[in-house]
Amino acid sequence: MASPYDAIVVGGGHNGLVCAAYLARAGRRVLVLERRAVLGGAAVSEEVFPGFTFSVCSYVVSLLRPWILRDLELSRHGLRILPLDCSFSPLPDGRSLARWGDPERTRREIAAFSPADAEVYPEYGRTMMQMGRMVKPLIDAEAPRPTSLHPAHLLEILGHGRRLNALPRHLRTRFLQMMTMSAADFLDLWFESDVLKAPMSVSGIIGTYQGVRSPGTAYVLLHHYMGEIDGAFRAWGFAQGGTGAVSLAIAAAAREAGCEIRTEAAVERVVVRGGTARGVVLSDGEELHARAVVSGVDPRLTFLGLVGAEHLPDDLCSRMRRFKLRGSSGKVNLALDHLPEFTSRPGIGPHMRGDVAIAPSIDYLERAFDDAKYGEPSRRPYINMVIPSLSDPTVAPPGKHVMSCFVQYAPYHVNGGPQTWPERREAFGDTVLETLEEHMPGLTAAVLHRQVLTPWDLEQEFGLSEGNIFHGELSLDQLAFLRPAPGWAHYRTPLAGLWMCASGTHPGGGLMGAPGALAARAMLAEGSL
Amino acid sequence: MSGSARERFDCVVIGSGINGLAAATVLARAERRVLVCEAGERLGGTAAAEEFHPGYRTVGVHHDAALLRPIVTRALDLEHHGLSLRPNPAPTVLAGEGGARLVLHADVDRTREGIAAHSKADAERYGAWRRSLDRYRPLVERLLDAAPSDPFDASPSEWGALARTGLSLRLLGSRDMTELLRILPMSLFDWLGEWFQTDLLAAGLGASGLEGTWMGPRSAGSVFTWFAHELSRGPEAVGGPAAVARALLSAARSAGVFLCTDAEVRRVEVDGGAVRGVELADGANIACEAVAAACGPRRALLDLLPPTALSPEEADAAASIRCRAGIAKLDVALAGPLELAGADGPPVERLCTAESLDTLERAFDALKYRRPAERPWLDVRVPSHADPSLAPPGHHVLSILVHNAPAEVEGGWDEARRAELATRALDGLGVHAPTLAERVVATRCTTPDQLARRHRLDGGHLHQAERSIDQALFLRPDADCGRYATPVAGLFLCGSGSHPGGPASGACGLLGARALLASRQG
Ligand SMILES: Cc1cc2nc3c(=O)[nH]c(=O)nc-3n(C[C@H](O)[C@H](O)[C@H](O)COP(=O)(O)OP(=O)(O)OC[C@H]3O[C@@H](n4cnc5c(N)ncnc54)[C@H](O)[C@@H]3O)c2cc1C
Ligand SMILES: Cc1cc2nc3c(=O)[nH]c(=O)nc-3n(C[C@H](O)[C@H](O)[C@H](O)COP(=O)(O)OP(=O)(O)OC[C@H]3O[C@@H](n4cnc5c(N)ncnc54)[C@H](O)[C@@H]3O)c2cc1C
Repeated sequence: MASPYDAIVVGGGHNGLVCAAYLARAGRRVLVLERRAVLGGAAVSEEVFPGFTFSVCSYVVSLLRPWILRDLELSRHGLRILPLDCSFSPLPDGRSLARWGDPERTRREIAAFSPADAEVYPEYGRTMMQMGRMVKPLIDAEAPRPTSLHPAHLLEILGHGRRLNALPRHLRTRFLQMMTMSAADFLDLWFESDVLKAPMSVSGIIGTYQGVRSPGTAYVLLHHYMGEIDGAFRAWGFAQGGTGAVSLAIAAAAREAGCEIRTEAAVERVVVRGGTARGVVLSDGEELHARAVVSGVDPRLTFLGLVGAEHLPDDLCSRMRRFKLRGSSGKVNLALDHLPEFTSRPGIGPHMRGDVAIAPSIDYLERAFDDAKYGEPSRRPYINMVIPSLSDPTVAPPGKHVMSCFVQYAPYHVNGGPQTWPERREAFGDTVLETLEEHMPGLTAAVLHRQVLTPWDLEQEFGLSEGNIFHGELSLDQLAFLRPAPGWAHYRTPLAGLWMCASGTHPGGGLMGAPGALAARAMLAEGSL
Repeated sequence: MSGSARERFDCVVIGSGINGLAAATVLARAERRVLVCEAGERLGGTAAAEEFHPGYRTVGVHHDAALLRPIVTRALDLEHHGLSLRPNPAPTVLAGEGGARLVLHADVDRTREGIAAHSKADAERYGAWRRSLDRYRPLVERLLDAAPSDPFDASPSEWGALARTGLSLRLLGSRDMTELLRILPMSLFDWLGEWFQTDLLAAGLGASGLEGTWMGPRSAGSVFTWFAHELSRGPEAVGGPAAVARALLSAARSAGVFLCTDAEVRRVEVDGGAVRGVELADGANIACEAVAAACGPRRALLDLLPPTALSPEEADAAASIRCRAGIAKLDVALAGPLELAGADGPPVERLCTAESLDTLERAFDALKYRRPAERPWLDVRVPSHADPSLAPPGHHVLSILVHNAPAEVEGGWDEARRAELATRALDGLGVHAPTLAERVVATRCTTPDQLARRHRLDGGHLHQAERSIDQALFLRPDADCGRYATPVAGLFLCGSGSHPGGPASGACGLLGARALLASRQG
């Protein structure tokens, strides 16, 4: 039977859309099927309460690959990035630290806590950039294949080795150490002030079930610098209209290239015949066929949910069962009548236009993780808060505000089981408000509406297995040629015609677009499409 | 040191621990005139036997004597010097909650029978797990027994060794190689969780991988340290570490090594970037061209060298060597054997009280906040069964490593806090051994701060530097000194702060001394 489509993409998250856009631009007939009524997956804007538009999940744009931005002409399709100029951390003792785009201003702020750290800080940034340049080619290309004896693959690995070799020796050592150290230990190599180290360390734990003292978290600090290296736009920013604007711009680029996109079209299963994926069946029974099916959902859902173990090798199935997802983050979105001030830095100043980290000390962050280790939400969580309405008036009615709070830890596997999260949801929201209230008195009273998302909700509503925001932990054993499983790390699967293109593949999660684009590239290169 | 003060040696070895003695012997056998300077009153470092209560002796601060590398035993003919080895060590009893027991035997099938009582599935998998380890062992042993190479900075003479290591990795086959690369950076919690459901078993198998680290079982990379520890296990020295030290001393003496105690090295004299001699605490000067430092690397690099000997970057790297201690030592004199509730059969020689992975994790949590563990887990040995001379007839000694206790606690360690820690440990053991309390004759609890003072251990850390991936191989203890040589010509590091590091393997001394001999100063 001739099918009207070359490829069906399951899931309209940003990666699915990026993949679809690249395939469509190469002249392929592509259909995207999204279960929800809105596009974007975890990169979505929704007017949850009248007049208030939330970046429901993902809230800052920092990792989006600049070449994708250019290839798909996202600016022409309406994407505007509003830079974030400050990282602010209030402290319980009434002091606070703000790090600014302006290095001199940052130096003065840090010097109040440690003159030595203020001196080292720019040096640290430069070193991280240098090391980031090492990693960049890795995230912009397919994962290396260390066990392959193919000359091209060996040469590629040699190339990575050469780049590492070209670093000055002390940098190379730092880089090798960083691969396996904890964020806290790594920052100890540079800085003395806890007040500085704590908010810096958190980029190592975002989305993981790890603490800042857990080895392996230092490496993620690098990703923070990736945007700056590209120089295409400022490292951190909001998308005007909320993060969903990124997805909508990608969708516009895809549609322009002829891609068809359907929402409220939930895929029930992948049609497999003769070891080959032939199409999909929707929840309403409709069957659609294509020469390739590309999964834009996470690997466990793809293999065990949509394909089914009966069509797959046992080894892959058991790997998927133990694939580490165990989400640890939640989100609280607030609609505010007015904006209260921070006790530690009064006034509605520029420090509130950046991201605000409730991360007063390394021990505070580690304690938050300790609670989660034993199955409880953190009594005092790490919170990363932004107030997009200060920079983007389109997201709230005049004079009102939206506040987005990313919260860790909220372990999916909470004591009593993940299905008890609905009963814990409001208590979790209260903990977040109580924590913020300590820094921002009057906040609770200013709340008009609140949306609390637990990892359970992220799973139920957004299809993120175990609520993992990255479709799988970004730990060394699940990265590169091991993501999502050894042997299946290059967007291919054991089934002919079935591909993967989302965050559960190399180079991983975050609003990056690279998995989608690299998957499209691999599919086109194979020539069967 | 009177008399020999004006003497000249080819090489001075700092520290008479297992690694120092191994290094000295290797050097002396290569016709070098070697002097070992030991600051303490006894030779043997942390392996020296001690009388901790009249009539009761230890087998050393440490007690596991199955980690001595066979290359050391062979190279130094330790069996000719009185060392006897038993291939199969005594079984380890894992004591769990509510009287749960599990015994780990050297024999896989016997162990499986015991596991089956807890979980049939685990018993099945245990065999497969052990077989997978056997496949990795040759590669791990190859790495442990050779000086590490820096793949980015290898000299042509090292290319061969690197190629052989690469080859043995490849020889594992694509599947095992991928699997090894996958699991090494993982946490014990995740890795053992993939294999076993019985928490007592996972905790008992995993516990030893945490020794000498600053990690809990959920810390990524703990599989790596576990591999380095467990896959280096070989035949056990009868008589414990003290017996190893005795054999090494005999080998050193017969090779013509000069040994002196109460001889603390205060400075390493450097001139023109090269070692010229050492100065002792009593003011004596000893000229030499090479120094093999088997004390901790921080001490050697930061305390003993003149401040200008290292560049600021090198000094910075040395100051970044992490050695946060986590273990206290408890010696107990007992009027009778250690009897477990409801147990018959042979007497208990080894016991581990880590009832679950969370027990290990919580003990580590305490360390993070600079507190001793609320409920410490214990690695217990009863060396007096194999060597009854350690205690009066019918009596016994327990050697207990108490996990975890930091080197610094809030308010500082004092007698009351030490006694409290000992009580917590003995109460924990008493749950499994009801007769314990009435049999205790005496106890001595040595906390890391005391280990630091008495045994001059950097930070009170038992391996001179934490074990972790980023302080392993050619990065141990730091990138400048990862292959025994230091930036100062003639100064070599050869204590457990160097590769292969960790437990009392003797290989650090052996490989360090060989590196010294291969250098110009040798
Ligand atoms: C709370 C939260 C905060 C975050 N914050 C940030 C941030 O600030 N910065 C950042 O860079 N990253 C952030 N992330 C991570 C980032 O948003 C995600 O990693 C990324 O958006 C995932 O994109 P994706 O396209 O790979 O998958 P997804 O966005 O998960 O897309 C999968 C899509 O498939 C759909 N789907 C699922 N099942 C089916 C089905 N059966 N049929 C059809 N469709 C289906 C889903 O509805 C979804 O639209 C955050 C994530 C979360 C959850
Ligand atoms: C509590 C504890 C438990 C342990 N448990 C085990 C175990 O179960 N199994 C195991 O295999 N290993 C164990 N170890 C580790 C083991 O003891 C060491 O890894 C090994 O003995 C190190 O030997 P070494 O020669 O490198 O150093 P050490 O034995 O530490 O010897 C160093 C010597 O150098 C001397 N010294 C230091 N500075 C100077 C100076 N300036 N001048 C002169 N001399 C100096 C010291 O006095 C000391 O004697 C344990 C250690 C401790 C402390």
